[in-house]
This record gives sequence, C-alpha cells and structure tokens, in this order.
Amino acid sequence: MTKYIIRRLLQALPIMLGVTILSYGLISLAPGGPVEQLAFNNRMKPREREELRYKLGVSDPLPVQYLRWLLGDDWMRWDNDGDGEADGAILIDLHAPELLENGKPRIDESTGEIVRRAEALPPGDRYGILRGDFGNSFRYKRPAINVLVERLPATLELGLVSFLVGTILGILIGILAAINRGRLFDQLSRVFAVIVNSIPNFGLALVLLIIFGSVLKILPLGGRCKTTLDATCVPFPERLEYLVIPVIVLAAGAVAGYSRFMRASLLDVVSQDYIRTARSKGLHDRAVWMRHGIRNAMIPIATFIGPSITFLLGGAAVTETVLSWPGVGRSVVNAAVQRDHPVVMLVVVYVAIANILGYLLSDILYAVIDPRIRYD
Amino acid sequence: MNRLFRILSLSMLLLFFAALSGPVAAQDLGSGAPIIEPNFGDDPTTFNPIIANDGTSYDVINRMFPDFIGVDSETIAYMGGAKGGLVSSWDIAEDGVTYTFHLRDDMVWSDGVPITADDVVWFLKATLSGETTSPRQQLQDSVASYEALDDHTLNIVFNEANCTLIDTLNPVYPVPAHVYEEVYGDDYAGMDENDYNLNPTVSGGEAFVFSNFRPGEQTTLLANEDYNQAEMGAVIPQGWVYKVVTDQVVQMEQFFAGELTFVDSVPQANRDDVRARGEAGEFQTFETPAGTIRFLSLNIADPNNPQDGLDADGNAIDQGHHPILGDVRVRQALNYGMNFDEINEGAFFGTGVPVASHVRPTDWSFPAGLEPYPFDADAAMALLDEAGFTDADGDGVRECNGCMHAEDGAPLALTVKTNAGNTSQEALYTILQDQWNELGFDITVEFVEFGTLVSEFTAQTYDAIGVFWGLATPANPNGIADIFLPGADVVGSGYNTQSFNNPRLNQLIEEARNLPGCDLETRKAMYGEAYQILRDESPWIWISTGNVLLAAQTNVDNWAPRAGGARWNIDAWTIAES
Repeated sequence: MTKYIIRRLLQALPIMLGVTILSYGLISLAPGGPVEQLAFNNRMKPREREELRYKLGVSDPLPVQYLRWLLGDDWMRWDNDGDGEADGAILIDLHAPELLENGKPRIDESTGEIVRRAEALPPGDRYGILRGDFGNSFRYKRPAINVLVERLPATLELGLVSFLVGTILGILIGILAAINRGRLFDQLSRVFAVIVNSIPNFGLALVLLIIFGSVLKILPLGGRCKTTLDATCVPFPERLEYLVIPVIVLAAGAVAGYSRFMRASLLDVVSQDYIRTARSKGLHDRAVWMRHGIRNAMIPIATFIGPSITFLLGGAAVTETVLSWPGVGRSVVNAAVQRDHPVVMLVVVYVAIANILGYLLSDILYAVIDPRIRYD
Repeated sequence: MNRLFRILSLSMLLLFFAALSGPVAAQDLGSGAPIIEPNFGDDPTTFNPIIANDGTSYDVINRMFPDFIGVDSETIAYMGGAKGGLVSSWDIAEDGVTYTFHLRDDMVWSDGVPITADDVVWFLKATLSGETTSPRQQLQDSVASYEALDDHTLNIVFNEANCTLIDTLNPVYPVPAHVYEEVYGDDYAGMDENDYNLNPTVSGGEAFVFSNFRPGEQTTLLANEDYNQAEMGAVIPQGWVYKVVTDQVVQMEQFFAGELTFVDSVPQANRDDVRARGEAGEFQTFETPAGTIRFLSLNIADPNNPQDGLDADGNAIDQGHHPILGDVRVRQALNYGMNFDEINEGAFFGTGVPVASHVRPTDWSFPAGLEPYPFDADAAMALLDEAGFTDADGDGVRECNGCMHAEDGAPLALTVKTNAGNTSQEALYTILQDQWNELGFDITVEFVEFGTLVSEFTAQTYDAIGVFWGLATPANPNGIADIFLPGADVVGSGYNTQSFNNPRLNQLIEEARNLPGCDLETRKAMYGEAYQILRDESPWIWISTGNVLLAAQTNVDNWAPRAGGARWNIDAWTIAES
C-alpha cells in the first residue's frame, strides 16, 4: 500500500504541472487583465496604467510570468554588490523603460531603441510557488496565501458539516428506500431527489432565507455569526443557527445523490447469491441487511467520498455569495472576476492537490472496505 | 410661606434637571446603538490612504481619517473649515502656484498626538516618491514642492497655475506620521505588503476610530472620544460596522428585518416598495441625484486600425473613419431615434433622468438651455437619408448608397456591447435595439463580462459600448479632458476610446482650466459651449442619470442626508435599541 501511495503521488507531479500551465495560460489569456480592473478610473492617466502593469509584472511575456510564478524572480534579476539595485538580469528588464505621458516607452530616435531609466530596478524578491511563495494578491496587496488562509476556517466549517450531514443522511435514506422498495418512503425519496436536483443552489438558498429568515424569523438572514463590535465570531456551538440554511442548501444535493446511489447499490447487493445463501442459512433479515448487504453496498459509495474532499476544501461559490458566508469559494469568484491571478492560481493549486488527495483517499477506502482489493 | 416657596422652587429646579437628564444621557459618547451599514461588494483592501484605490477601502477610510480639504455638504464645494476637513482656510500667492494652507489646531489622533502639517507632509512624501503602487500621477504631475511652515501651516507649490489645483488635492489625507515613520520608514515600495495596512493602531480626526477587521464579514470602527466636531458634543453611535452582504436581495431582506441601519442605494427593483413603505412610516427615505451617467460610446475612428490620438511630438495622428459612426449625422440619428420615455419605463422603473451632455443638471457648470435630443424618428430617418444610408432593396435594413465612409451596399449594421449581469443595462439596450432597428439599423446587442468589456473599450476595436461613468463630487468639469481630448486617446490605456478630436473643444477645455483669475461665470460659459459641442457631435450618447434612494430605519434619529453627503452628521445618528 505504501509503495502504491508513493507511486500515485509521483504520478501526480506531472499532472500538477499540466494543471498549472493550463490554468495560468487560461487566466492570463482571458480578455481584460488586472490593470483594466484595478484602474477603471478616470483619474488615472495612461502612463499610470502602464506603470501599474509593469509593477504587477503582467507586461512580461506569458512564459516569463509563468516562470516567475513557479520559480520566482530572484534568479532573474540579482544584486551582486548589495547596493539595493540589480546589476544583472536574464529574461526580464534590468532597467525599466522610460514612459511617455501616453504610457508608451520613449524611443531614442537616433538608435531606434527604447530609452531606459537611469536607475536599475531592485533585485527580484519573489521565490515562486515551488519555494512556498504564492505572490501578492493584485487586489488585496498582500500575500495571496493570507487571503486564502483568512477564508479557510469558514469554508472548512461549512464544508465539513454539510459533508457529514449530506453523507450520513443520504446513506440512511438510501438504505431505508432500498428496504422499503416500492413503498411510499421509496417514492418520496425519489421525488425529493428529483426536486432537489432540479433547483439551483442560489434559488434554494434564497427561498429558504426568505421563508425561515424573513417570514418566520426563526433563522438568521445569512452571514456566519451575529453582527457585533467584537473582533471575532462567538464560538462555533453558540452560532449553529447560522449554519442551518447553508448546510441544508449544500447537503441537499449530496443527500439526493447518495440516497439514490445507496439505494441502487444495496438493491444490487441483496440480489447476489451470497445474500440468498445467508438467508437460506436462516439468518435474520436485519442481520442479512446490516452485516452482509450494507457493508458491501458501501463499496461504490467510497468512490464518491474521496472526491468530496475537493468540495469540502474548495468552498461553494454560489451559496457563499448568496448567504454572505465568508469562505474560499466566494473569494475565488471575486478574484477571477477581478483577474487577481495570484489568488486564482493559489486556489487552483490548492484545489488540484485536494482533488488528487481525494481520489487517493477514495482508493485507500476502497481497499479498506473491500478485502479483495490489494494494491501491492 | 417662604419655606413652601423655597421647597417648591427647589422641586421645580430638581424637576428641570431631571427633565434635562434624558437628553444629556443620550449625548454621551457611544450611548446609541452602533450603525450597521451594508457593504455590497468585496472586502476593503487597505486602511492606508496612501495606497487605497478602491471605493470600499475609501468608505472606511473616510469614517476614520479627516479629509485634507473638507467638502461642504450643503454647497457640495471644497471649503476651508468644512466639517471633516483639516484645512481651515487657504491663501493663494500672487504667483498663482503657491498655496498656503492653514490647518485646524484642535484635531488629534486616537493616541492623543495632535494632527499637524507633518502628517500631510508624510502623505505627500510617500506618494510623490512614485515608489508606492498608489495611482496618484495627477498629484505627482501637479505638485512641485511642499513644506510645513509650522505645525498648522503648510505650503504647497504647484508646477503651474490653473483653476483645478484644489481638485488635484482630492486624494490627500493626513496620516499619523509618528506611527507611519516607525511602521513603514522610507520603504515606500514595500508599503503594500505591510500587515499594518489592515491593522492600524492609530486613526482619528473623524467620528470613528479603527477597531477591527473580520475578512469576508465586517469592518468595525468605534466612536471617537476625541472627535470635537460632533453635532451633539460627542459621537452618539457606539460604533460603525461595515457589514459584507453580497447579494442585493439578501441585503434588502436584512434591511426590512431591521438588521441594517440604513441602505445608501436601494436597488431599482425595490424602490417602489420602499417608497410606499416610507410614506406609510415604516422607513425614512431620501432621494438625491446619482453621481453616475449611463452612456453609449460611439467609436468614430477605424476600429480595424486603432491609433493613439497624438504622436510623441503632440501632433494629431490620422484616425481613419468608422464606416458608419464616422459620420456625425448617423450619430445624431441614433440620438433622435432614442425614445427615452419608453426606455425609462421599461428599463429604469421610471427613475431615469435624461442627460444631454457630460454634466449633471445639479453641477455648477450646467448651462441653461442645454437640452437632450428629443425623440423624433422622422428627423432621424431624414438624417440617415442625407448621410447616404437608404433601404434600396426594401428588406428593412438600410445600406450605404453614396455614404461617406462605408462601401456601397454595406448594411447599416452595428454591434452594441454592454456589461452582462446588469439587468437594467440589458433591458436598456434590448429596447434601444428595437427602437433603432425601426429606423433601418441592424443592431446586434451583446452582453459581455465587465473585464472583457473594459479590455475591448480601451483597445478601441468596438462599434459601440455602453457602461456607466462616475462624475466627480465636487463636480470637476475639467474631467472632460480625460475622455474627449486627443491626449487621452491612447490605445490600450486611455479613455478617449472613441478617438474624438474637436479643436474648438480642446481649446475651450484648456482655456477654462487656465483662465487667469478663474472667474466662475466665465468658466461656466466656456464649459457650457464645450458641453454643447459634445451634445451636437455625439461621440457618446448620454442616456440617463437617475436618483439614488436612501432608506433608514425609523428608530434612527437625526438621520438627515443631503445631496452633498448622506453621512455628514453620522456622529449624531441616535439609534434606539430595538
């Protein structure tokens, strides 16, 4: 098993590289860059926008931008004599061009070359993601990792509770539907699944919010905790009511999905020969269902549980936005809209890692539940 | 009897003081409930005014740092001694470029240190270094030097005399120099990354001081005990919470439920409801002209070959012609063919106000007699006929038959783009599409993601793009220069994306800016002529401004918004606990 895990992790490295190249290319080539977003302001002059483009590093060729993000730029522009000004550079400029009022570089008419500023630029100070530096958010002007870490607790809190509620309820309903096949409960669970899968999350969130928050006034109208003058939210157990609507919204889909899978899987299992054998040996129905049926029916469910970790860690953008939940999902949507490349790329890497680990976990669970599976 | 009189007198006196004790208690610092205001957007990015560049950050900064020059909320003009401003008065030397600012001497930071000229000097020093990422080129280009003459007197020398220098100082704030020096030192380039930006320990000079920031949730300020401009002697609300509510439906539900103290812009879909409930006494409401204008920019130049307006020597570069919009008669026909009443009902819920040019009717430079184009389909069609666009084949779409810039037979087809996701914009251009197609146009409307739209706008490769434009408050008519003068026609980064160049307009703007003596009436006449040129030449179609509807709970006493500011007396808002 250990060898298998190591092999899978090694196989993940080229996948990660591919994911980063593809994602970086997509976000960088999307129309409308960060400067257009940050500087849609008529008080700013064209030269200022070009300066900003330069300071953010988005005026460099795309491969150079990607290399800077991946490996940093301390090796691209360096300072040998320690005077604070770079004295050597590859791939990027040592001296920035002088910009005209219209934002265009000044051209020396006699040589036809770009006129450079007298003072050299400072040495590169980025280390790249491979050395743990995810860069600064263009919008928030602070390390992108901080933006993510600030939002992670809220996402984990909501994700974990929704995951547990969705999985446990879904499996339970699936079992009961299978046991009561064709009866009223089975029919109701099917209708529930169809309805839930037909309603978009934001619609469900708004309907629940208006019914329970506005009309009945028994649940809060969004947010993660009560608005106070305090610097922190009250402890988790004291604000459970804030979780009710977002958890229902997020768990409803999981309940619908898991219940249908579990029902089908269980009905499939109970039609197997070994169940018939167990019954013919005189085992009580409950023992047949619980001991032989459910455990075996759980095997395909395990394949879904692993990938759910992505959802758990990645947040739910729409629900978080509608319900003002301060999670990762909402911030990455904002970052994508604002072309905040460092934040978007950080979340891409983070979700990709979560995805890889999720599938790995799924495979491990498979082996744990099904003794026939051996990876070594 | 005498004793009885004394007892009665004493009782009356006691009753008098007892009666007074209520209001006195209500005027104690932070005796009212906190104000909770929704932030329909993202988190603030910084609380450092030197590097702030987004509206949300300024919303917080303006509550906890004084302006350099305050704006009078009644006249909506910069004024020495205006509430919330550090400058009490200023003198202009005969050279026209040396301004001496006299500062208030009674303002202190939250740590008790007086706010002085050094605090403004620190702001200017960091900003003019050019090392920060703060977009302040206008300031860098204007200010030649500055000097604190004493704690409360500051000299600023500008590069040239003109009539907009006070406007130029709009982004200036005093910052606590004694703290900033220690925290940032002279590392202006590294200022962005400093954790202090989001955790300031010292603020002041305004009604509130910084308390805490909860990312994704709220920013909290507390009543400033040292604020000496409070309407009632002390800041009444205990604090001010800027709460993130990212969905407009939820925002209004929270307001209806009493969770929000006030909303500074009720969404259009809720306005009728809020107005009616306001009239029924459920809420307090106030309507005031909006600071934004909806417009449709018409690309006059060749969209297949975008060029800067000027070369390096300042000479005009030939822009070519847009095959259809290059002819002013077509642009005027679009104006005549716009039925504003129908648009107002269909897209703006009746709240739109037609606009004739790049000026609000409430601005000081608005000229009498400046009227929007009337809806006149016959005039529109006559202009199109005259421009050589006729429908010879009878298919309902006109084509070029001897027009100025398109090839003969080319249809009168335009693509109009606007930002996706904005329902009123989408409704507006859907209606306009029908109205203009009635005239014989073949209009295609596309709804485009905002970032992409801005990119196409600045690339100058479009036919027509419709978005909003915010006008400065206080009004600065010289803002026209950034949109309609050839110097702002810079492919990729300038905002004269329609490549408009009218020598008379250029001259008027330059003269109005540099008029010796800056006589207001003379400048107003100059800007009036400029607005008329813009209306007639129509590089933009100015569609509408509108009113914003503000609403507050009924338990907020002293809520008295003005056109010049909803929060001018925020320190006096008294909210009864509910």
